[in-house]
Amino acid sequence: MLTRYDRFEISLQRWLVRSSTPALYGIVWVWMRINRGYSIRNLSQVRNAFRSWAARGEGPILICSNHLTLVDSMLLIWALGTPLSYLLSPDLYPWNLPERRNFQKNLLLRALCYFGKCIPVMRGGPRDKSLKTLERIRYVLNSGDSVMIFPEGTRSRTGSVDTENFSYATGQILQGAPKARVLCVYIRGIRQKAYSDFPARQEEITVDLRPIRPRARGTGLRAAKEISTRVIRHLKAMEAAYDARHANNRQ
Amino acid sequence: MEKTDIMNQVIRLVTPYVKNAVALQQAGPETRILEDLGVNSARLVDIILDFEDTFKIAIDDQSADSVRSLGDAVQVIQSKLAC
Repeated sequence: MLTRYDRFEISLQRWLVRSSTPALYGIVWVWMRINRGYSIRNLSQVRNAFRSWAARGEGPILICSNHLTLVDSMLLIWALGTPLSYLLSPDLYPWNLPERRNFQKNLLLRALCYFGKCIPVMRGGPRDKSLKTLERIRYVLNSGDSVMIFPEGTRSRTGSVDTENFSYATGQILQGAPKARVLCVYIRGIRQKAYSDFPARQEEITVDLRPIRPRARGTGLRAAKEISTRVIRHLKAMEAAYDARHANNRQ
Repeated sequence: MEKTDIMNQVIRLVTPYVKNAVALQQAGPETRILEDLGVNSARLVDIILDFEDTFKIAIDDQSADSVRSLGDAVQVIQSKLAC
């Protein structure tokens, strides 16, 4: 159960993030677009598809994406909206769930994590801390904010969606946020063969969207497993569709 | 069911998820499932579900959270079997 102080912390972070979004977005955009030369394929179509789908229904959005590079969440934030769209609809600017250890190295990374709207998670950490983090994620979702999660739990070591070693966190989150809508996202650079820290320079990145409704019949851990498995299967199917479209590039 | 039988079953069920096979050979009630046996934390859920299926019991979230060692698992299973 979150305390009043926890909720205050979240509200404060939400407000500070909102104030700094245009500046941070701008800096990250310059790094991705100008320094690294990345481009998103059919960018305006992706944004329109996301915006119209988000506007059509009610309920917070859980964005579930495959994971191949350290900057996937930044790329997805770029792909799904502009600074203006996030200012007008701050709930669409998703909370991110990075591994705490990756952002504890120095003050700059911590600040980036905080202003990048992150709730740090600790894989395999103490149970009480994991439960508290889960409560925070459910709280922001139930407050109407979007959340972005990588259901595989880590960057895929095989380069493909890992259908064997994924975590059941997606299901656990959704069990506590029954009104949440799920958007599966498949992201991949055209030259991305395996996992890496960053996509290659000048990479053209494809972003595919697929809204789903992964519900489970049971309850508890079994339901969490079932929901998470369904999400992973959808991501795998999206990967198959991507592969079919880009067969020549991946050989 | 005897404690030893439950322990043997628990070890059998945990085995497919174990990364540290040497630790498994010397496993006892104090052996920690994640730290000592190297089981991936995400797979702990699968192990709990395997316990449920094998022993025909229901393990609530609170009890599942208390399973850290093989001995904890035996204790939880034994208490559920007694219900």
